[in-house]
Amino acid sequence: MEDNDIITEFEQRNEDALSHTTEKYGKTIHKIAENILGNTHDADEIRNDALMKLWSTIPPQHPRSLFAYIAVIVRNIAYDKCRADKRKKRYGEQVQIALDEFSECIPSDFDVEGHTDSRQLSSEIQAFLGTLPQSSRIIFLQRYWAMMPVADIAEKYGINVNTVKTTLRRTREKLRIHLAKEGFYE
Amino acid sequence: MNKMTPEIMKAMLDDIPQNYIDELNNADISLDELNSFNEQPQNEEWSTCDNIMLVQNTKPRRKIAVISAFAGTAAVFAIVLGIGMHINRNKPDTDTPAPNLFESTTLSSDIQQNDPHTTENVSENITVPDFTFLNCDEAVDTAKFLGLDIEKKYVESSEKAGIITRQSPTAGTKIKSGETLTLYISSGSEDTSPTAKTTSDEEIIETKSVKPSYRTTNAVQAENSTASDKTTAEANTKTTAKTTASPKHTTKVTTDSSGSDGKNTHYHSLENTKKIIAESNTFWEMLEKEEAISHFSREYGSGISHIEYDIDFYKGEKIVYTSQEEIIYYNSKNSIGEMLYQGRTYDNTTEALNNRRLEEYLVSLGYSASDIEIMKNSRVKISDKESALAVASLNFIGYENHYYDDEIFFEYNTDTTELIDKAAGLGTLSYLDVFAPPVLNDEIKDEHTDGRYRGGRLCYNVDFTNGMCQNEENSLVNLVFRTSDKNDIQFDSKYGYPSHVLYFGDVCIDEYWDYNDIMQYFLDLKEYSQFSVLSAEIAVIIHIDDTPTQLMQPQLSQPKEVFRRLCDIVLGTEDNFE
Repeated sequence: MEDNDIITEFEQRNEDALSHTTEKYGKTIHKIAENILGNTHDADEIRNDALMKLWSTIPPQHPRSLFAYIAVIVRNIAYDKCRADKRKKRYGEQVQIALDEFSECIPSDFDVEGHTDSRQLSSEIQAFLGTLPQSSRIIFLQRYWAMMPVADIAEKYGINVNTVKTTLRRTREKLRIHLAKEGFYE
Repeated sequence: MNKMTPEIMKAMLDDIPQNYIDELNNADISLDELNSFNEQPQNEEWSTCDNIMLVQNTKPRRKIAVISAFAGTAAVFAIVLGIGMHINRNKPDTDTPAPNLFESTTLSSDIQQNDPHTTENVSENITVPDFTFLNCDEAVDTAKFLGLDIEKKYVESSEKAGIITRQSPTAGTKIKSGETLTLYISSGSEDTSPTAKTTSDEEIIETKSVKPSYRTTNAVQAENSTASDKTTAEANTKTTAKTTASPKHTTKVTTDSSGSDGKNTHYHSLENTKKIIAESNTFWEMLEKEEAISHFSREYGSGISHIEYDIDFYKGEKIVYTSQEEIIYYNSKNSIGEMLYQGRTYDNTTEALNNRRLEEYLVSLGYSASDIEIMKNSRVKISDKESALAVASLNFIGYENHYYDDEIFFEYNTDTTELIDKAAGLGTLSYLDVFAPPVLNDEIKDEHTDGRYRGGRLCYNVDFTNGMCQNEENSLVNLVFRTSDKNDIQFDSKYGYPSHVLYFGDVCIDEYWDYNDIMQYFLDLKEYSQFSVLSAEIAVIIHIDDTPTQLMQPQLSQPKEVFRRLCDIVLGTEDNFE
C-alpha cells in the first residue's frame, strides 16, 4: 500500500490506517524503538504510542514521507521513555555503545549543554552529512540516528561488517576534521 | 571528557533533513562508493586535514586546530607578510546551508507542527498572509502553521487589545519558513468597551448573543462540587454523546476538591479536598472496570486515550471557583478550550472573536447547529480569572498554543536563578515551566502588567537536558510557581481577586512518566516550597476522543496508584510513600 493511501486513511479517520501502517512499517518502528530502548517489551509499547501519535497528528499534518514521519516519532518517543526511565538507566545497549563512538567526534571541552555551542555543533553536523557520499551517510545515520547495531547494518545492506566499521570510523574521523576546520577544536 | 549524554547525541541529529531519513528506508548502499570513501584520501582536502592535530584541552574553546609545524611555519610566514586571516566560526556554509537546528529541536515526543523535515507545508517560499486586524492568537496559529517564527510587539493603538495593527514583513512578501514575522499587537486603548462600534464589531455584536450560553450555571448550582465523579462523568457523557459526529474532539472529565456555598461559589478547603478524595473511590472503581471504558466508548463512540493528573495548591482558605466539571473540546491544532478560557478571561472583544471563531471552527469540523448548541449549553461558568487560569493550565500539555503564549518572551533573569536552580534539582525533571510573581522582577512587572494579566510573570521553560531556557511548548510537566508568600504578589484589583487566595502551584502530568518519579517530584516540590497546603484542587482529566479501540488500553496505566499518592502528598499523609 502506498504511503499516500495510508495517509488518506488517517485523514478519513479510517482505523485501517493503523493496521496498514503496522503492516508496512511495523518492523521498522519496532526495530528503532528496540535499538534505543534495548528491549522488545518496551518497543511494543512505543509502537502503540507511535500509532497513537500518528492518529492524533494526521490530520492536520500531511507528511511528505510517512516513513520519515513515523521514524522521527518513534525515535522521539523512545528517547522520551528512556529519559523518563533515567533513574533505572534503561537506555538500550546500542545507545551506550553508539554514544561512546559518537563522543569521539566531539571535543572534550565542548560545552555540550551550552545552547549556542550545541546549536552550532548540530548545524555543523548537518552540514557535514551533506558532504558525505550517500552510502556513508546511510551507514552513519543508521548507526547514530536509528541506533542500529553494526551487524544489523551489514546484514541489511549485504555488506561486510568490517566495511561498516571502517566506514563508520572514517566518517567519524571526517566529522572530527570537519568540526576542527569549523573551529570546534582548539 | 565531555558530558555527552544520549539525549544530547540525539539532539545533535534531531533535525536532519527528511530525505536523509528517507534514505534509511529506500536507498541501497553502493559498495563502490563505500570502497572509494574508505580508501586513504588522496585529495587536497584530506592532505590538508591530515596536518591538523586535534588537541583536547581544558581551556575554554576558542577557535581552530593547532596545525603542524609545516603549516605553522607557513602561517607565521603569512603573518610576517602581513596577511591576516580571520576565521569566523559562525560563517554560514554556503555550499551546504545548515538549517537552524536547535530552534525547533525538542526531545519531546511531539512532532512540531512546523517541523520542516516532516511535513510539507514548509521549507518553501511562503507568501506572508495579511494578519492585520486579526486576533493575535488566530494570527499566531496561522503563522506557526506556515512555519514562521513569531515576534510579538505590543503597541498602543486605538484597536482593541490583542488585535494586530501591523506586521513586518507586510502581506504578500515572500519569505522562507523559519524566518521571523513580527506582529505589532495592540495593547488596547482605554476604551475597550465591547459596545464600541467598528466594522468588526458588527460581527461581534452578532455573536454576543450566544455568549451567555457558554456559561450555563446549571452545573454550578449543585450544592457541593464534591458530587461523585461518577455523576460528573455521566453528566458529561450525556452532554457530549450527541457531538461525536466529528473527529478529534476530546472531553475532559475532572474531579476536584472544590466545595460550594450553594451560591454559585465553590470553596477550596482541606475538608473538601479530603472529601472528594474519599468519594473518588467510586469513580476509580468504575474506571478500573472494563465496563467503564466500554461505557465511555459506547457513549462517545470512542474511548479514553490518556489520563492527566493535575493538582493545584492553594495557601489561601478560599477561592471562588465555580467549576466542578469541565468539558473542553479541542483539536490538536486549535485548542478550543483555550480559546474559551481566553475568551472568558480577556476583554470582551477577544471573547466575542474567539467564540465566533470557535463556532466557525466547529462548523468546519462538521458539527451541526444543534450539536454546537449542546456544546454551548454544556459549558460551565468560570467567572473568575484565577479559576480560568487554573483550568487553562490543564491545556499546557502537548499543545502548541497555550494560554501563556504571550509571556514566553523573557530572557533569563538572575533574580530567578535560585528559584530555577532549586527547581532544577527536583528529581529527574527534564522540562519545567516556571512562572514567578512579578515582584521578582520589576522590569517585567512594569512591562507586562498593562491590564491584560493580573500581573507580570516570568515564564521559563528550562530544558534540563542541555541546560537552556527556551520556549519549549511541548512540556510534559508544568510547574507553576505563582507565589509562596502572599506578600510577593500584587493582585490587580481590576479583576477583583480575593487577596487571601494564593494560587501556589500547579502540576500537570502526562503520560510517559514513571509514577515513582512523579511521586518524588511532588515530595521534592513540597519540601522545597515548604508549603502547608490549606486547600488543593486535584483534577484527573480523562481524555475521551476518537482514539481507536485498539490503542486505548495501553494508555491506561497506573491511574489509581498515582492519584492515591498525589493525594497522600497533598494531605500530608505521604509517610507511607515507599
